[in-house]
Amino acid sequence: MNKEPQLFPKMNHNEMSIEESLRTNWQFSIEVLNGGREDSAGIRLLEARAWEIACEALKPRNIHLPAPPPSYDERTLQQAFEMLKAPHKLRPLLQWFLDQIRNCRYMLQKDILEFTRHWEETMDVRHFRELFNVLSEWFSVWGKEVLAFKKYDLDGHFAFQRAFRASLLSILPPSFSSAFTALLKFTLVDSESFTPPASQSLSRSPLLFEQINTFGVSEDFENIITNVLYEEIRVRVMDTCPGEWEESMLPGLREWFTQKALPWIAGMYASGAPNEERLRAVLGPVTQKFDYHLCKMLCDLRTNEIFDIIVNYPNSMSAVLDLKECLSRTDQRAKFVQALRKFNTRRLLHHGAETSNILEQYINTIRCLRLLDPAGVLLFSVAEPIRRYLRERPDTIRCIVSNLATDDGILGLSDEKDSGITPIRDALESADDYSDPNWHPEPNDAEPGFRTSRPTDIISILVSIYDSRDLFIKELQILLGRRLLAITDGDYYDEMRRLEQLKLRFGDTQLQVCEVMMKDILNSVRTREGIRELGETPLHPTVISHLFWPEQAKTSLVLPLEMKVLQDDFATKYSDRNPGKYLKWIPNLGTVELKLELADRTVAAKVTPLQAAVIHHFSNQDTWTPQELADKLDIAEALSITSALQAWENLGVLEEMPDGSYFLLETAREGRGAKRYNKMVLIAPETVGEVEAAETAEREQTERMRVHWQFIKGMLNSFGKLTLEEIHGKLRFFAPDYDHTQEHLAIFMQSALKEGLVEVHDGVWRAVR
Amino acid sequence: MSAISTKRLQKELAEIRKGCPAGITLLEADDLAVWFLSIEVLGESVYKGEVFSLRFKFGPRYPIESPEVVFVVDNTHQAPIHPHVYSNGHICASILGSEWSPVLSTSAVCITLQSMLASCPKKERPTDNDRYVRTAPLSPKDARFQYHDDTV
Amino acid sequence: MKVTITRWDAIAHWRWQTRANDNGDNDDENDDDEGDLCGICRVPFEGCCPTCKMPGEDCPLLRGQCTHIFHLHCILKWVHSPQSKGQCPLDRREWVGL
Repeated sequence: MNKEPQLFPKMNHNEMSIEESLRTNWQFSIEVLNGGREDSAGIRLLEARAWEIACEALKPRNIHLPAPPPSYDERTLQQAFEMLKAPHKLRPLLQWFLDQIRNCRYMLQKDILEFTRHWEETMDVRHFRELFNVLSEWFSVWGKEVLAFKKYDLDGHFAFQRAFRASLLSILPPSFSSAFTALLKFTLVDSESFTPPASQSLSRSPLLFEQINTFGVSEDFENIITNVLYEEIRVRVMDTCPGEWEESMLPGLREWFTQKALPWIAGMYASGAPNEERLRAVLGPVTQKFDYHLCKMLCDLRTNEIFDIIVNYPNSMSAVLDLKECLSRTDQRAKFVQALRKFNTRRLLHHGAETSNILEQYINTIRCLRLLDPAGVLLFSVAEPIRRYLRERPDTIRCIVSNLATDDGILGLSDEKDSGITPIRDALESADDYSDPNWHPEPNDAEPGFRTSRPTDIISILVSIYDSRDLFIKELQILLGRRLLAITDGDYYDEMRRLEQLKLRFGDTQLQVCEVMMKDILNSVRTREGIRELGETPLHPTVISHLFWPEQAKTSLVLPLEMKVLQDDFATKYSDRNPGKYLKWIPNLGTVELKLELADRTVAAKVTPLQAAVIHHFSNQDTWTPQELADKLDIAEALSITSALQAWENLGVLEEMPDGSYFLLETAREGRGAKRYNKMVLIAPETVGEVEAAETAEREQTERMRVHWQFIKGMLNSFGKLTLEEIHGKLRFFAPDYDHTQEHLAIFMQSALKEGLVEVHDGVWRAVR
Repeated sequence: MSAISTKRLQKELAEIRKGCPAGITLLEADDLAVWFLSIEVLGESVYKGEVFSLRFKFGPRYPIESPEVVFVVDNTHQAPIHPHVYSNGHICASILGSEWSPVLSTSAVCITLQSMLASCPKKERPTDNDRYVRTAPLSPKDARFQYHDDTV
Repeated sequence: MKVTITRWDAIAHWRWQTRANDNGDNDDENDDDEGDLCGICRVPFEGCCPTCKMPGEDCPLLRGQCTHIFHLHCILKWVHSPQSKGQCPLDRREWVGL
């Protein structure tokens, strides 16, 4: 024959022709092997026959066709193998078989394509599940006889499995992985939510994983399988945890993982594990891996929710504790800090937020992050921008102080009850103390500037926002002044108690001024009592040491004789009791309770001294123009006269005439319902004058700063734009007599901003031209 | 420093910073207890164009006790040549010694010394200058001056 | 109409009577300034001397025969010091407290 010898000619995709060509080829090969000699023909024929028999038995068949009756019995097959063993034909036989497997993969392909297509059309995972049963059948039918090799030290099964795997993987259509993912997801969810009867046919996922293991493709599918589980963990977290901050979610999630997810995946990783102990050993690292993922998912969620978690603290304490554990497992701290800083910038540190809200959130942040990270590194990183922002807000100090001096404010002193009240520590004075046996190096993700030994009580932290305490003292003084003057029932106990607490914090010396104020108040009580013993008087003066009080907004006001008589009488008695001293009245401050007896009614009202003075004049003369009254009372601003007149008009006591003068209504106007006003009416807003007093400190600062305005303006014009620090630094260096803190400067710049002289963008100031 | 001197000096310093009398300038008061001021005679005088530097040292009993006041004498500064000023900078003025009064302030002292210079008709050293400088104590407050002139 | 004041919560400063005619009526004087200062400590009379914490009776004034007034504590410190020679700091007349 002139044909080139072909040991394995190309396969024809027809079973009959394969068989025939095999036979033909076989004959031909024998001839080749024997080199044309005839003498060993008998043996060769026998061997050829044995090969033929073995091939017949091993040959992959289509399981969808009826199985042909076995061509040879078991014994004949064994003899055939024995026959092929001696001339070392078993290995070629195995090789032949494996090639057949590869060549017959098209048979599998048909099934796979069909099941996958069906899934694509119906999304019916139950049906798709059948594919694996079918594949199992292919596998077992094709691999049935391969065990025979084992006897001859050839691992036929393993080789077969490898060939089957290779064939299988090479023919998977693109949509297979989606279908398989869907199936896996179904079995995972199913295993927890379906009752056994309903899921019997399908959800025995251990069997599915066994099948996959059998095909030798579990490693190839591992990504898909773990992704399904990852995704399921994510879904689980996102379904059950968002907004649930009042209880710890981590134990529940872990319980779910151990009870449901772990057994499911055990089918894949540990189907071959001989016992429980081995199973656990195999699953250990797997569990760790998924627990990490679970923590990371919860960590991501809580990080996203952190701003509101802080808002809701301490109700959200469980969520914080969960997050703490998650952070310790997953090391997402940098991401956490970044996220919280971003939230703060977006939701907190802008003009729309009230200073008290910012402070409240800052305090909650302190408490929250301390729980999260006792070393304080996270807090330091997050707090700096908040502190910087608060420093630039003009009313921060007032806000802190007004909370400092109440029992139930955001700083509720109750918080400090456990630790007792501690004196305020300076951030600056707490340098590292290396002789401290409890000293630790700073944590390794600490930012520069971080100190473990910072003040820890919340009030100290707030006070340390500013370099100096003077502003706090000034503000405390203003607040105390306002409150003491507002107390009319003589009960100063609460204020005294608070002052004592504040003294513990700020020290006696710093609060000396407040001490004097308190003493003035108590002395006033004694003075009033002493003078009332000499004769009844409606006058209840508070006598103050004016140099120690916030500046009172004093305006001129000449009181009517009836009122002045009361003052003079009191003042004389005061000087008698206090030799060497006399009284100077602040006529515009205080409140007056009046009873007006009119022809048809009595009106009682609590009013300002100006309003009282105005109405007094109507008892002698029933018509006044605002100007006449202004002259009489020596009031410069006609506006305050008019508003006092209108207040009485509103009470139905006066009426404005067409010429602008006011007329006393001895009898009530029809329909004005004057009887309604028989009760005590408060027409004086109690804050008049006091609000002004509160703003005095700030105004004083601003005024003192004003002398530097030209200098600041010049700098801004020549440098274009400057940060507050730069302005402050240059002023300190160049401006004569500049002795302000940066906070004063900030307040001043804020008012310059209000006046439209400067503009600020991202903390950079420039002059408006 | 004591509370008394500290509070009083803080007040004086604040006032001086607000504005010094003409011809007088605060040079340095970093240490509340030691101030330097420059002084010159404005208008016509024998010291026209000359600027002198004064050093004030305040003790804890200031203002009950007078401050130590000298003209600075170093590489760049000279004491004015004046019959009441020694070449080492010590000043023989009664208000700095026996005639001190606590109502005097730093700027009042400066003004007095300024007028002492302004009224000087002729530049000359005290007659006992050499002897005094040889034996002078470190602080003029430890010296026993014979006040040459009761008017200052 | 009859107007009756039933209650009046008022506010007043106390001041030292440092002038012969001081009685609270003389509103024409400067109300706004801090008032007169003690020449020794430069603190207003109504404040307290540097060694005191409470103003008023705890840190009273002392008037001399020469009519000059100081914080009691301030002038005593001065007249007890040898430099004072017992003289008033303002006019160097002999200090006699009233």
